This record gives sequence, C-alpha cells and structure tokens, in this order.
Amino acid sequence: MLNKVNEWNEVNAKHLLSRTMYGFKRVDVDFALSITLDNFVDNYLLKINTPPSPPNSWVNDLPDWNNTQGNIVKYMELGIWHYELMRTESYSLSEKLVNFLSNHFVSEAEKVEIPQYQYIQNALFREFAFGNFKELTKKVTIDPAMLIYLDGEYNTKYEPNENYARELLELFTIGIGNYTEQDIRNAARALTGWYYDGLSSSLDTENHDSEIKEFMGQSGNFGYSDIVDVIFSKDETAKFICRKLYKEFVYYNPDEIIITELANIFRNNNYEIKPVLSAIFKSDHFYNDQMIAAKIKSPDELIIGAFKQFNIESINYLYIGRVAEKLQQLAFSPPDVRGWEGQRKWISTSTVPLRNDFTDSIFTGKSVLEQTEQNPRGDIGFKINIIEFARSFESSENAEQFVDDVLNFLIYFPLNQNTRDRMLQTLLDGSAKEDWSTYSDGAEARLIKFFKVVTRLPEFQLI
Amino acid sequence: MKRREFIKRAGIISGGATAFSLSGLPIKAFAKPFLNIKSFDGKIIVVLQLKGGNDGLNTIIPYEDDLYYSNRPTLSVNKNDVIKITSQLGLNPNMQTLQSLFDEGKMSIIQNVGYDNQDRSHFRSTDVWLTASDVDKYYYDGWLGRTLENVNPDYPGTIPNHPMAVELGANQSLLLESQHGGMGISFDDPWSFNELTEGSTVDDEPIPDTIAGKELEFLKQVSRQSIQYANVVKEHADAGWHEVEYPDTWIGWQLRVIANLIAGKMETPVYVASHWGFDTHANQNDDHPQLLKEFADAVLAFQRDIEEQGLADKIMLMTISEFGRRVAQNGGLGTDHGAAAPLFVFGNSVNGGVYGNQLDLANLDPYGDLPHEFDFRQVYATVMKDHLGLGSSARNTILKKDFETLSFIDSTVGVKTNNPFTFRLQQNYPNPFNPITKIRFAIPKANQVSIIVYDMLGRKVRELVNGNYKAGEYSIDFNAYKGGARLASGVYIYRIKAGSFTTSRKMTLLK
Repeated sequence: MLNKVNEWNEVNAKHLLSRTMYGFKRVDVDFALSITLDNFVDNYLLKINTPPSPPNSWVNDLPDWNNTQGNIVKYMELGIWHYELMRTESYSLSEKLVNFLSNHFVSEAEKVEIPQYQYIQNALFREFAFGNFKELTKKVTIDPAMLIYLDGEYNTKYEPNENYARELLELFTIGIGNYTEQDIRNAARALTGWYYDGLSSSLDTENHDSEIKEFMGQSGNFGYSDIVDVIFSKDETAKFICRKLYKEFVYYNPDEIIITELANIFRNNNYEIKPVLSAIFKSDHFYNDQMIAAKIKSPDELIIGAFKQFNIESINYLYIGRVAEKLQQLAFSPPDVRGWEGQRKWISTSTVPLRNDFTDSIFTGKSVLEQTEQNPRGDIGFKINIIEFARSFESSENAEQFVDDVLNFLIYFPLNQNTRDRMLQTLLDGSAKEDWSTYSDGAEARLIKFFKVVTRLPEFQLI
Repeated sequence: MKRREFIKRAGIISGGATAFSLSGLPIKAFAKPFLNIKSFDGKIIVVLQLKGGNDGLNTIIPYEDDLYYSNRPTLSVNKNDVIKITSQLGLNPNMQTLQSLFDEGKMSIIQNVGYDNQDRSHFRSTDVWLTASDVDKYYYDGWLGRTLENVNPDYPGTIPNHPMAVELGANQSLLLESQHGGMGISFDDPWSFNELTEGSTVDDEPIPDTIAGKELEFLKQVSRQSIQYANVVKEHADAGWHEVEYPDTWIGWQLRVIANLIAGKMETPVYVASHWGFDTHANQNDDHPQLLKEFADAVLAFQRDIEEQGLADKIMLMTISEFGRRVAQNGGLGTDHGAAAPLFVFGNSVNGGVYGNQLDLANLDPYGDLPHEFDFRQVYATVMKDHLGLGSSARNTILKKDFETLSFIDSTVGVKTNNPFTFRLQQNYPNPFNPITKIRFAIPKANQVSIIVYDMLGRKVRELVNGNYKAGEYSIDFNAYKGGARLASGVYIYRIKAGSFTTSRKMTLLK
C-alpha cells in the first residue's frame, strides 16, 4: 500500500537524490534536509523548469540530408549539451524525466540522422515532462524524428507500414498481450499519411486512409488521435506506463499492488504524470530499507554522478563519449526500439572492468581505453586534485572519520565493519592511523589508491 | 583500434615443448591434444544471431515463383542475378561467397523454420528462440544455458578452468542464462579485456539477504567471472592465430576472435556472435544486401580458417533470427514482421543441401506470412543429438519436450578417435613472406617426418625437418636467409613426408 513516509532523514534524502538526479554533492543533502520532504518534492524536484537554451542556432535550420559530416558534428554538440545539462542540473527531476521519456519513446540517431529532429523531439519531452502523458503520446506519434525512426513517413493507405503501430502498442502504451495482429494493422491504417515537413510534420490527405477501421473493439473513421484515445481508454495502459516509471525510479521488478494504486492515480488525474511521481517520492514504499541501493547505476548515473561527487568541471567529452559507448549508453543511440533495459543488462564481464577503468581514470588521469600509439599512457586530459578534494572533508586529517565520511557519501548499500576496516587499511597503507595527514609525504598516492579501491567496490555501482 | 590491436598481436604464438629443426630454428610442439572439451566430445557450437528478423525470402530466393515477384515488385531479386542452388531456389547474389560452401556440402539450409502461433514482437519472439519455449510459456534461462548446466552438473560447486561459453560484445545473452546465472562471459577484445581486469579483486564479505543484496551478489558474480577468465582468454588468444584474412567488419571480427581462441586451444564449447540490423521495414535494399554480404564473407573466412587449421570437423555454426518477414513488401520499400524463415547450419559434418518442402506462396497464414514446417527446436534437437552428442533424456530435459530430429548432420564426422590429429600440412603464414614464415603440420601417430623446400625447378633448397616425431601438432619458423644460401624472391614448394602421407604446398618469398 502507498502510505505517506514519516521520516525525512539523511538516508532518505540520499536515496531520493540518487534516484531523481544524476548524482549529487554533499551540500545537496544538507539543502534537501533543510526543508520538508513535501516542500522539496513539490517545489524543487517536480517543479517545471524554464527550458534550457538550445545547443546552437542550427536547431532552427532546415534539415540538410546530404551533409552527413555536418550532421554528425551537430549530433556531437547535442551530446555534449545533453551531458552538460545533466551535470549542471538543479534540484529537479527534469533531466531524468526527459531521458526517461526518450528511453520510452525511443529513437536512434543512426536512423533519424537529422540532429534538428532529435533536438525537437527532446524539446517535446521537456515540454511534457511534468505534463499529460496521453497528449505527449499523440504528439510523439506525428513527431518528425519518430516518423523517420519507425517509418511513419512510409505509411500510406496504399501500402501500410506496421512498424510504428506495433511499437506504439507493444512498447509505448499498453504492452504485449493486450491487442491483436488485426489491431496493429488497423492502427497502422489510422496513422497513414503523416510525413515530416520542414521542422514539423503534416498530413497528406491523399495518403491517409479515411475508411472505417475496427480497433480494439471500437470502430470509426479513426485518425492518430482517436487511436491514442482508444488505447488510453483501456485500464491496462495506465498500468503499463506506471510499471515503466516504477522500474526507472523504484525497482526493476515491480510490485503489482503498488502498480495498481499508481495506475488508479494516473487514470484519476487524466494521465498527468506529476501526481504519480509525487505519490511515489512521498511514499514509505519508496523509502523502504529494501529499496535502498537496489538500483544498478546506468552509465550516465555512474559518469555524471562521479563528476558531481568529485567536483569535476573540466571534462574531455571525446573520452566520455568513448566511455559511454563502451558502457553501452552512447547518447541518442539505444540498442533498439525497446531502449536501454537497465539494471542487470548494464552489467557483463565486458562492462564491469570498463566501469572500474573509468572510475580509476578520474583519479589517475589515465585510461586503458585511451591508449594509442600517440597516447601510450592513455592520458584522458583531466583528473581531480585529490588532495584538495580530500581536504574538502572536515575530517580529512582524521583517518577513521574521513574513511567513514567518504564511504557514507559515496556508498548507500549498508557496508559491514570488515569492509570499512579494509578501506581504512587501504588508506593507511601500513602506517599508524595517528600518523595520517593529507600533508604527509605520499598522501596523494595513498588517496588515489584509496579512492580507486572505494569506487571499485561493487557496492559503489548501486544507488 | 580493435583491428590494429589484433594485427599487432595476431602473430604471437606460444606453445609447449620446444624441439629444434635442422636449420637450428625452434619447432614448437603442442604437447596436449587440442580441444580437450570433455562435455561434448570436443565439439564446438557457434550460434550467430541475425538480430531484427532476417528476410528469408530475399536470402534464399524462390526464383521460379511468380508469386514471389508479384508480391515484391521492387524488392525482389532479379532471377538472372540469383545464384541458383536448386531448380527452384537460389542464394541472394550478395552471398556469392557461400556458393563454394554449398557446393562442397558444408552448408545446410533448413527452410520454413518457426513455431506455432508465431509472435511478431522482436522481443518476445527473440526470447522464444533463445529460451526454446512455446510461445505461451515464459522461461528465464536459455537453451544453451540449460545445456551447459546439464553437462556441468558440478557447477557452480566446481568452476571450470575455461569459460563454458563466450559471447562477443558487451551483452550477456539470455541464451546463456541458467538457474545459476549467466554461464558465459562476454568481451569484444580478448587483449583489452585482460588489460582492464588485471589487478582486480572481489571480496567475500557476507551479503545481506535483501533485494539490494541480490543485486550486489549479481555484481560480484560477474566481477569474479571476468577476473577468473580474462587471463585464460588472453593466453589462448595469444596462442592462436588465423590462417586467412577476415573482412574488416564487426561480424568478421567476432568470428575471427572465435577461430583464434579455438586455435589457441581454449576449451570452450559454446560461442555466441551477433549480426545487427535486419529489421528492414523501409528501404530494405539499402541495407539488407550489405548485411548478407558481411554475413557470407565472414562465415566463409571462418570456415576456411578452421579448415586450414584442421579444426573444422569439430565446429558447427548455426544462425538464428526471431522471425522472417512478410511475403508482400510494404509502402516503404521494406517488409514488416513475418513468420517462418530459413536458417543456416555450416560445418564439415553437415549433410549439405536444402531441407524442407518447396515454399508455397499461394497458401499463407491469415497475415500474409509463411507458415512453418519445422519447429526451431527440431533444429536445436538435431544439433544437440548429432553434433553435441546429447542423448534423448538430456535433450528432453533441456528442451522440455521430445522433438523429432532432422537429418542435416552426419554424426560420424569429427567423432573422437584416440588421437584427434590428422595428417596435415598447413598453408604457411604469412604468405607472401620476407624472410620468415611459419609452417604448421600435424601427424596422428609417431612417424619419421621430413619437410623439404624446393624451388620451381624442383631443386632442393632446404631441409627443414628430418626426424622422428610423436603424434601432435607442430609449428616451424622458416627463414629464407638462413640455413643455406639466401633465397631469391619467387615461388617455392614445401613438401612433407610422414610415413605414407605426403603432400606439398606453395609459398612465395617476396622481397
């Protein structure tokens, strides 16, 4: 049952911040705790932000299909913009929600090809992030990037193309098992005729099928908007979407009792997203001990989270792009129309060593990934000033307290005393704890080793 | 980066005992019989997943069928371009390279493969194929995961020294899931995999029994697997090599790494590779021909490579794909999700040819798709029985049903003898060369062996080997500047004589 949570303490605040933002700094926890949970959720996390400035003025230029190289460069600008928005996000769910939506209504840069369209789609997700999911579904259905990605542009009454209709039902709204192959065909007919046109889309009435269609037990001269209305008239739709939200923000194996409650909230609020999120983030279910640190960080959460945790501001995004690609989350390039599945799918014998190499690299300034003949040491072009960072902890000169503070800041999974002791021994490296000082000889090397070992703990991958 | 890395390292070969040839160059002998894979009698299965739903009709083309052409007015392949393999069927011209394998009887095409009540969702249908389930049953382990579980009953109590399965790329496929978790490891480059893993450890602290604890346990298990096997993989990658050039594609790379690891004697019986991009809803002819070409060229290189290395009797490569595509093309010059489709099985031990009835494009299912004739699990059952040597009770346990097997494998090929080696003289590598090249040979029993190099006039220019050798596989470095007069550029012949076995090959010294 969804009951309101009573406690608003450090553990809960860290849990909420880690799930709703791409990592946080220590001062962020202090801020959240300086006000009430309701205040923080209503007036910060779920508050609609002014949209960010676009990456460049080219977003208003008409598409140039022939300039592949130029489009790739623009996509890179879009990627850096996307990373910087995450890194500099305020106390807001915006970035996570926008990225959730683009991983729900999936498209891939490799097929869309036009960075303007990718930007326009991203702006659409921003506009609706805290808005109405049903309206958003309608807008996405005729969004230029989507018309390209799932072949709506080729869907005509003469030769229907089922690609979008199938995924609309299977992945975007109601889920497999709730419709027939015939429903897919007839939905495709209702969606015929839309094409991208300049920077928006238009209907070519000659290509549109305006006959009567049977769809999910109803019939009429349906267009795209009617099809979405019919889908959202089914109870299962709210459940399907709430399950996706739950998987993203709570736990990857949904609790069906909670899902039913969330779906009721969703339907009773005419598919507004905000009341559902508010119910989740204020519930005792969300703050249940069992949910703490039960999520495996996405590569974005790992990478951007590390930038925030360690105050890294000057970043070599060419390197980050390569890391993200190897960790299987290259911006705007999900593996397929299902998007990134997350959780255990991020983890393999291939990605675990690469995650470790990434966290090592921010302390050492070197990565195996970057090793080439020109760069044999694999310099990544940035690294943190570890002494300065250590001294940003009040406890920096007290080894035991320092280790505890660092572990409490970086790791939310309950660590046992053995592990804490092992981390302390790593820092001390054989010397007495009384002799520890960030001013001692060799402190830098010890700190680098200590932070490498801490961030290599598998517990560090959990939020 | 990958390619450079590979080339940089591919030349390295290490072996066991070292003997010396007449010219003073070391001969490396591989002390142990190769492919000591007890579980499947030394057999190896490579599963190649064509992701997205391969269009069977434009792969194996019914070039005499007017309905094929009328259903696909612009997408069909012109009859004159088809590579005809039967009176009715032909290969897509982009798979030209596979014609030789078909002609040699090393390629089986199983037509009309699918299952009852075909699901047309990529994800659900992929899961059906990977888990070998009925469409209305949900399994959370893969059929190869269950197979490996069946033949490794002591796992995870006893962890095998070599990985039980290897998947190329960064995913861990459902195909390899078992109730003990993933049975395989994945990486895209054996060398950087090792480099990234060096020095890593995982602690054995107790894990609380919470849902977060389960995720931690999973993370630790995957870390342990990577640490345990990274070095094994690197050593065997170093020990192997490739005898032929592979195309510079992702699928070419994957098959090359697999061949390299097998040649390096890694005792892994299951490999998984993938080839992406078959979901051709629009402008199919922009992509599909190229995908088929990449597939065909990589498979041919792989087969020729393992043949050259004397490994081919043990290895079978099969393709899977979640569904075929609709018979009629759509409005985007593409095809929508369909049902039954052909799959391929390659290897020395296949009974090459086409299996299945002639396509009947006049009798489609209500959606306009091809009905299936064979359940895909019949193909799995056949591979399990006649390639992997699994009895009916094991098969029925793994596939959870008794499937009738097909006849596309000759189970007598590659069956274990006391000694797995055959008489063999391999093509030297590199070739052309200047001035050093490697020559490999194998003998199945102890014999007097000689290898002599002749010029094109038949004059003996070097004696490389002359002595008694035990059964095994050997490698010798030949240096054209040493052991006699410096040889001039040109073609030379090297001839082996071992007992009554004699054969020769050409090599080219190019300065």
